Amino acid sequence: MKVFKFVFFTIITIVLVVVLNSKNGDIPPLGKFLNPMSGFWANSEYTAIKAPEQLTLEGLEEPVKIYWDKDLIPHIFAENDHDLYFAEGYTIAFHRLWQMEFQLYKTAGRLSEILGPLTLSLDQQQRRKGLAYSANWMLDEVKKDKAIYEMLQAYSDGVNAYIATLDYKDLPIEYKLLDYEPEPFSPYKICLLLKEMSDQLSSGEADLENTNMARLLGKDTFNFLFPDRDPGIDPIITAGTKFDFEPLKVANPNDSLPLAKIKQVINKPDPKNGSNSFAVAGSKTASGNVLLANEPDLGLNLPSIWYAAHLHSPSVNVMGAVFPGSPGITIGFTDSIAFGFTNAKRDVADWFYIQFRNDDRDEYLYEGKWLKTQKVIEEIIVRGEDTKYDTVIYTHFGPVTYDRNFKGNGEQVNFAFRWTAHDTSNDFRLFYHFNRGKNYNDYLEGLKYYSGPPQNIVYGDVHGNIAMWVQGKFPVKYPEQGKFLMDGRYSKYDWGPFIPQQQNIHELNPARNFVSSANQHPADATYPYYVYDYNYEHYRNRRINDRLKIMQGIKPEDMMKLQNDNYNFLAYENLTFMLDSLDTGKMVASTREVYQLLRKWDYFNDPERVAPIYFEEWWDQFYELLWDEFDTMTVAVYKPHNYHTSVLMKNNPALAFADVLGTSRKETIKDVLSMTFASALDSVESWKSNHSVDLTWANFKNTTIQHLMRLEPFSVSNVQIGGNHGIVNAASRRHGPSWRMVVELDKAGVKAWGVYPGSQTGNPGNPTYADMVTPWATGKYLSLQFTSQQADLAADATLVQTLNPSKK
Amino acid sequence: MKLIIKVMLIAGLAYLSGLYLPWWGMVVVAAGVSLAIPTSSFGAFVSGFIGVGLLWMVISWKIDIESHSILTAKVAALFNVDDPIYLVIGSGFIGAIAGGLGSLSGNSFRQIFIKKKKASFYS
Repeated sequence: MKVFKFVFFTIITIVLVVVLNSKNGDIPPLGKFLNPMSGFWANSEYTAIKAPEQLTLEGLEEPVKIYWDKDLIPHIFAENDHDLYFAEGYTIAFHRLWQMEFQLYKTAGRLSEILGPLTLSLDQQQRRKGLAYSANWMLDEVKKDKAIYEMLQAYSDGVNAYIATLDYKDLPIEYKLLDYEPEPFSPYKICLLLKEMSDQLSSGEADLENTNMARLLGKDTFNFLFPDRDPGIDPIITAGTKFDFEPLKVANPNDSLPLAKIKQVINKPDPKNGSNSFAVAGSKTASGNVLLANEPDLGLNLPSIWYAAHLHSPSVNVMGAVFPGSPGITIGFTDSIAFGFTNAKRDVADWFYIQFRNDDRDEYLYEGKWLKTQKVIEEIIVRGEDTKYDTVIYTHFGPVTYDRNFKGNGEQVNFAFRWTAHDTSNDFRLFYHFNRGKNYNDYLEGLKYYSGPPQNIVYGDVHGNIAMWVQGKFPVKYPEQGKFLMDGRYSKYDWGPFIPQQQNIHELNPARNFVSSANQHPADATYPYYVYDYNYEHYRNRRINDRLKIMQGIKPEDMMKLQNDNYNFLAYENLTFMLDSLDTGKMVASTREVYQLLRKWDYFNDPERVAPIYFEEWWDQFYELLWDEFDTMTVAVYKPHNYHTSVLMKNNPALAFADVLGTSRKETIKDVLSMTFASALDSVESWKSNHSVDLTWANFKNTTIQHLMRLEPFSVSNVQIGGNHGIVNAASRRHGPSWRMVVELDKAGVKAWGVYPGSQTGNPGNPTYADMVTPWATGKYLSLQFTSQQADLAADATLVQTLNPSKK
Repeated sequence: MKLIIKVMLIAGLAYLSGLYLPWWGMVVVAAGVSLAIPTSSFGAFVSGFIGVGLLWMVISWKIDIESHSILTAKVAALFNVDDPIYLVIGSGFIGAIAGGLGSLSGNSFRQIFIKKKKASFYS
């Protein structure tokens, strides 16, 4: 009996411990998680930063000083480059370890290892893009470059030195919620991060959708709806710039389109992503110094995609923002130059139709010969389930992403993916040179190594130069090459040579005394190479250029003001026309009130305004109803962009697409405008009855900085910020300026300001978590303390940390 | 009196184990204390329940206050409760149950080796 009792109680106890030690669905292991000594409670921090002043780390060569300033930006002072990158890896891991790792699980298609079957199809898609696979090739290339490989290795060693100090209680809370542990960091993972950037920035194309639409609508209608260029565009480099070089030529096969159609395509980056950068020459500024501004607009997440830091060694003195997981500084400045990026949209990813010899898929047809395929078996570990396997077939183009096992209409369609991001490259060299930059030649040297994702790279220096290069590896294309699916059986469609780097679009010290980029067309039509993207910007660029043309005596505050500009160019160009087409005679009083409000509006999408709500809602509904034909198509398509829509709206009153499918009569543009004006007002009314907050643009838009795990309590919603996509202050609901920076390139000492919607700490339990969101929303900046005087940094520091090498 | 000593001993040792061992170290601690100090089964359960439960509650409550609920309020929202005090109570309860059962198991092991024992209402 007693033995029985013992066994009984012991079994119950063990079962309870096991249950409380394991994750159950979304519920973390409760015993582990709720234990006040090492569970989530231990992630509560009482002060802004808690770290030892003295630390001994194996792997360092000399002592390193870290001055954490009042904004928790680390100023890292090392005796050599190895220690600098080691300490950088250590420092960023200290604040952002979970994010560094988690984002790469996504890139590599390994999320299911942590999250279970929920993310299996996303993982499969990532594997089929060949990102992890090509990161290996990149690593092989990087290993040949001693300085770069040592940088990657030192950074990884620093991250791993931090991981080695962690017990369960010290793990970021996300590990505890998801119940897993960090794995070692490595140079391979840093290569993978670069592939992640390519995936986010250069995988946006619409070749298959274009193919579908050209077949469904006919080529003429397709060209009418989706022209490569509209009148009135304002390119990145000054229109009229002369191109005095002999371009490479490729033969144009002048063929008809291939016949395939596809229902579903892989996920693409949000086409509304966009960024701004501009620099003004000393002749336009109050101080006579060059001023440079940059803000990459990306998904708004917590922990933030950026981390601010200052790196100092005998060969480096650079400050700015960096992607956690990447060594050096990505966007920033040295004591002589400043550099920034916007995405250079260009179709560098093309699709090829593949014909296999038979179901074994060992061979595919190319120029009448059967070429061998290479099969890679992808092993996808799924938490709580059996491991899944997926065979990805590689051709000389790249991976066959679509096939019988993945979105290939379940049968015969095989499409291979040719993408510059699959090629080997050593892009880290660009940052290596920029971070040590003294002058324009250093900038040019860095550019040479950079293949992608293609970027418009803005430059300014203390010597008075400003420049913009559209840098990347671009294939020379015949007109419309790669705009549609191509036939992979024939070499005539294959990519030829790449544009020589010197012939990439650029300008240095242009006559207009400023350079700017906002993801628009890179040059006017005289550039001798075919340039195509389905989604060039038409609004932010024109607003920025219009302002910069007239601005004089510019101060850093003016640059900040322009970055935070809420002027709605789309409304300015179209609202009068839209209002004029309404029949005011029949309007009831409440409708007339809105009409009058819009008539009086000055086109600023400021956060507290009401007019932009009605305009944005009206435009969106007009756009949806006008292009309702596209919603009924059963294959993958997209709709004409806003600018072209507005051109058609104003010039084609009887546009065939204006006819609304659900009605018996035949509508015109005017009808669609008045129908959607009424429905937009209804939508706003229903918003009012569903919300307790005031009807303001910021509340209505509801910009949200979302935690990467999409946990609402760790996110910040309803941020009081104006703007929208297509506006210089491009804060839409989930995207926006992810790092705003303004630099004054003063010879006597470079000054700079920056802010991002997040916080240095990634810990939701830190009192400073997300503390830069409000300054960011209200257009305020942190003054970045860029000095080599360690005594000054020490005087203002929140914490001075010394990392000591362990004695040999 | 013995019960109070036992509660304090379990709480103290559970605290120490919490610093160095995984969370279930306190289950072993509670079992060990009950193995060493004889009480009734009920007494054993109660001492583990109160010892660990109180310890977990006090520490988590202290963290909640001192951190101004910065994290605890967010985690409370994750668990769909509107006040971190429920997390304090929940953590205390989980610690209490596990501690109580551990203590009971330890006690029942000791009882196997006791030939004769005063009858108890709860045995």
